[in-house]
Amino acid sequence: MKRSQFRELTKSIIKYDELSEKDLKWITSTFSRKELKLFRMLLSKEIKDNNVSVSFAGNLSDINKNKFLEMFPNKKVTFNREDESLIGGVCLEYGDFVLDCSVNATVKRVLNVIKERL
Amino acid sequence: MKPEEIIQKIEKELYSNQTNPELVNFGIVESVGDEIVKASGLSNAGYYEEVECEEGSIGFVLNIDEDFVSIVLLKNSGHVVRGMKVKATGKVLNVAVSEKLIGRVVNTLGEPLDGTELKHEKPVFYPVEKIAPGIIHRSPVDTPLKTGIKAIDAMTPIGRGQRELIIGDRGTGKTAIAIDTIINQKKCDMSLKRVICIYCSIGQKQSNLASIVAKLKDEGALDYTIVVAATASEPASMQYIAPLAACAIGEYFMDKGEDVLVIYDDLTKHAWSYRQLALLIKRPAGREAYPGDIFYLHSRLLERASRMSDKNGGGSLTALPIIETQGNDLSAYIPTNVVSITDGQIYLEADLFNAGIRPAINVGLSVSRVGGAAQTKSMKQLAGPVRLELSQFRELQAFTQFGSDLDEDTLKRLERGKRTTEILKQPQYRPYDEISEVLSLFAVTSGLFDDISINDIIDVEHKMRDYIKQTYPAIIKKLSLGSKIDDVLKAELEREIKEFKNINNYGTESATA
Repeated sequence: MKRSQFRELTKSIIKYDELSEKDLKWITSTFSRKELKLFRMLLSKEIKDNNVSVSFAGNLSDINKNKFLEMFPNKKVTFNREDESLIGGVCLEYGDFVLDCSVNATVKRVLNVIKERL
Repeated sequence: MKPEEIIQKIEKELYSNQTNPELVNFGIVESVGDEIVKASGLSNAGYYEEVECEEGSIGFVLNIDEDFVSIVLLKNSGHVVRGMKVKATGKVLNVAVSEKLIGRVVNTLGEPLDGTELKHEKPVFYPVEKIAPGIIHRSPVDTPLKTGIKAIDAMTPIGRGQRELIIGDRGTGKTAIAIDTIINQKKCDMSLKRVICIYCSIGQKQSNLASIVAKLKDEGALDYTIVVAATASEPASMQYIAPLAACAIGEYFMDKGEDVLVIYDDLTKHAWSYRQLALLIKRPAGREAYPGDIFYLHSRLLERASRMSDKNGGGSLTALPIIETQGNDLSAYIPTNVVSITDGQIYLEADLFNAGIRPAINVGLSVSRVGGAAQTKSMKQLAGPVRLELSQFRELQAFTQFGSDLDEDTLKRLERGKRTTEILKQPQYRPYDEISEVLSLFAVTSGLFDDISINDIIDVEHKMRDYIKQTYPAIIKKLSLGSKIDDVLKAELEREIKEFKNINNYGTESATA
């Protein structure tokens, strides 16, 4: 199976959000070890690209949650509360990108800059 | 710092742009091995972009494939594992440069290796990979870079902004020529601008490098020299980046209007390190297993050597790449590549070295494409006859076994050739200034040394030089202008040298005895 065909397969799995047991049995019996590795890698890439993770500390109001949902209309947005690691603020993970607006990250950035400049 | 100053700085940083959140591109390590990390993600990574691993290792992107990037580690903490996050820094691999680098020994990343801290006051970050200056920004090479070695300054002169290759087998004195050139820059001969020297050591033994640094320090040359070291124990990635980093440091000073000399010792090992990396990231192997762009690697490095026009600062970057041949084979892959890139080569032969001719320069195969444009008028005037005499001598040497059957003219040429060869010999770490070179070459080309025994030539040369410098300062002043030796000056010099010979009784015995 070509790489482009693997890509099509993973895209359709994500699009229809389902992978039945029958399909899974077919995949594991048909694909070689190398192909399975490629399939796993492409599938996890597709999942990452189609999911947005919003981590926040404290409370996130429904208005703000809706704003995030409007920002990513075609993606699956999940909200996670992580008080300890963020302290405050929000951290957005989308695909390969991370936008860290948390207090923890800001403090680290300031400390790094001060360390370099001083 | 006072507490108030610290608080002010912290407040300033809090309100600065540095604290704004930035969008960071991440990847996940899929495999690690042989200093190569394959990471998935990093969809926005660029070629040569610097990346940081979670645990502190630093690398750069060398290959971008469909679903992963290949990262070459420069600083490996040894704890990179599968599943770890890798962050793209958003900047091309660069090196921090400032005046503080002068006199220091640093590694490829600009970190000090000489035991003391290196703190840049106002560091500027120069990218290791940069496009060479265009034609419009350059000016012709017309200022000499004196090596202090008679044979080179006379017959293969180097100009500021030129690329001159030093090529030869192992143990023929390539590094010695480079070090002598650095030591000679201390003199600021002929009122020329100072030259900042950068010695880039690639894949050499640490003991060799230590002795070179010690020698430069003893001669006072470290005051204007920077040593960039990627020794044999460093990973191939550091050896690969070292000459690029050295060139970037040189460009910083060139952009400030300074003249810079960069010595790459040696590019053969640089090619080996690039081959190693290319094979590890599974690039297709070409001739001798080198990657297809091995020529481009050296051509883009050496093209960065230039003489800038006055409008663009007037600085220059002279490159002296060194290539090691195997068995005198000039026609091998890497030597031919670099010979075709550079503006000339100084070819050192093991046979000449073993015969006691040091520097072991093969005058016939060595050339400088800049030539007389990088010489003073007086040197240019004298260099022509030297070359001619040596080429005639080489042709006639085959007849030396028939010494008694040769006509007088041929014998004279042979004797002249022997004396010329002898006068071009020079001990290591004893560079000559321009005036000493002119005096020596004048004496031998005008025939004034024809009646001196070959064994005494060097000794007589030294004494003659010292005598004229002490006794006739007016002549020295005239020669220091670098202008052509007219008939009046020629007659004066001949008279003085004859006077010196008479006082010391030189030339009274038969020279051919």
